[in-house]
Amino acid sequence: MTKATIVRSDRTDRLETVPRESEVVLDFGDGPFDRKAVDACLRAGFQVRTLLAAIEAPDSGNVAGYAGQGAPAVLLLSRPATVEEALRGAAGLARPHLSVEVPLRGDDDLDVLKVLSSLGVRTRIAVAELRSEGDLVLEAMTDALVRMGRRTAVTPFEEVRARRLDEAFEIASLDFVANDHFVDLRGEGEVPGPGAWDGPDVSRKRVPFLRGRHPCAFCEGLLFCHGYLYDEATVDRCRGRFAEMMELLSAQEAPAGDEEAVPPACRDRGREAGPC
Amino acid sequence: MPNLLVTQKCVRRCPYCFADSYMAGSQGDFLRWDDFIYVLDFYERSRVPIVSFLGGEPGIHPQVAQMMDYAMMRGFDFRMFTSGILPAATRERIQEVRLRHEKAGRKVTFIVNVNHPDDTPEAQRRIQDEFLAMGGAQASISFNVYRTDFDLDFAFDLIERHGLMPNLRLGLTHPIAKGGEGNVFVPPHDYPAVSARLEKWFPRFAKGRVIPGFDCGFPICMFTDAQLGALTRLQATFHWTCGPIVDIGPDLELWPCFPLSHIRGKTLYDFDSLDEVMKYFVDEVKRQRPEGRGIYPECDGCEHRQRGLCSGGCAAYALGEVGP
Repeated sequence: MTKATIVRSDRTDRLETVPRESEVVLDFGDGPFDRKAVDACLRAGFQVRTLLAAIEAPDSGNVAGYAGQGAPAVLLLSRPATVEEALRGAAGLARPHLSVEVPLRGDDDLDVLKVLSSLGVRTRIAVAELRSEGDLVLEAMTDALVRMGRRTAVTPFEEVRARRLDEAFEIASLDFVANDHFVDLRGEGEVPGPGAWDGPDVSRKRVPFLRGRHPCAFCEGLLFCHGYLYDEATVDRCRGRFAEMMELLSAQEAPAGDEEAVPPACRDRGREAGPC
Repeated sequence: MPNLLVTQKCVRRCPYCFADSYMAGSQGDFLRWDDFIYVLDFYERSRVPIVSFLGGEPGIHPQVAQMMDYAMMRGFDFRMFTSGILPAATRERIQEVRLRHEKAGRKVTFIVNVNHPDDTPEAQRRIQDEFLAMGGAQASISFNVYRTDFDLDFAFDLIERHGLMPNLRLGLTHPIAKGGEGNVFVPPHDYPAVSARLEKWFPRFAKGRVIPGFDCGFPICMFTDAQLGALTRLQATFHWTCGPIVDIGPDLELWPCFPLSHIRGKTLYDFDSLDEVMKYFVDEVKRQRPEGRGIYPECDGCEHRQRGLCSGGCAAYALGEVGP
């Protein structure tokens, strides 16, 4: 596997020594979309995998530029947004190639996430949120997976739902800070040698965790996490989240009326088996 | 269709208010976004096509226009029961949202509850007037009869002046079963006086082609056959039978309707669909309502009642041990 390369949109010159088979993630920072940066990558023979950009709010003026081009783009909200901004921005953001990353800092963020997702906007939360404290991520996960109402896919929950049994799927591939999947050239340091783009073999990643009695060995997410989220201080949290995620997914797929399969997240809301 | 209380606060203190008992006992002030999203999810699952805001005064909710906007962005039509007594800024935002969604084919209606001008302070009347002017053909008038010497001329004047929907929704005020401080209401023995008084405005209904719409709780027998005939010619709509409307509180607590707001303890989270909610309340009212009891002793052997044409007035009397 060749890792993708993340490069700033104004420094595509740093791609000179990058292996041509590496896909490029172009980071526009908080700037507007600039076609020239994409063209520079294409001229150099690279495939552009994703555009990254920070936007102040869902209704930011920069959104139109990213919506009007064709490459997949992840737009990260750089400050807490309001529901009102989400409502104003939703129509412009509801494009299959756009995805809005909503940092979960409080209940208002969760409302923004749900509002966007219910209005046809693809959303995402950072993979690292899976080891955060509090119930926000659990609520976001329940909403995304149980789908009481109409919802657009929420990353990473949708990918886990669809690909959790796929040996080749790694949740880290959705996280732009995962150095198993991305070589980050956004800094000003030297461009590493070609060996830096060689990714580790997926099938061998789990092995160290399966030896001995490592907490990840008993985690239901090991198959697609491969210990990526492991941290001694927070391992119980991500392990708990993966257990809840699997419970929600099994309940979704269970035949109607299977009471045993109803997860606590649904039972707590006083709901019976059925749509859960 | 269910009504959603976005707030329990109100700008008025109507003496007949049958929401008063609920308002006094409820916890949450304003509907929260996460609960609102859940309600719309629930409506979607239950194929409810319209979101109806109720209060208190829904316009007091600081995000009423945004919630209205969101509901219609999700494909629902929208209706708001309001006094129309809203700050100008709120009214303008509502209007902006309404016009934008009407262009996209959504239906927006306002049912404006009005009291007689003598019972409405001048400042409120002026604001209400401005709201009606804004609502125009998408707004209709609702009037609650709480005394027998009521006057409707002002309502027809409002309809004409603002080009409102040619409908006049009439409600009979009812007692709150088993609760409340005691609201003012028209006792059933005065119902014939109400229908006799109403007859005075039949020509005005006809002249303005205004359709009378009778809310639930009117028994058939309060009208003479002649009155019923005249009302039929006016294309009046009636709800002689009693069934749950389903009101949803800002904290998602449910009850069948305001007069029966003592039947509580369940929330929207306890059900999977509106059909389940309706069935629960139908069963619960049946269980609590003494067999055959209506508002008059004659209801017991009444043919209309036996044939299911009339419920014998508001169930609040039968459930609340409130005598006629």
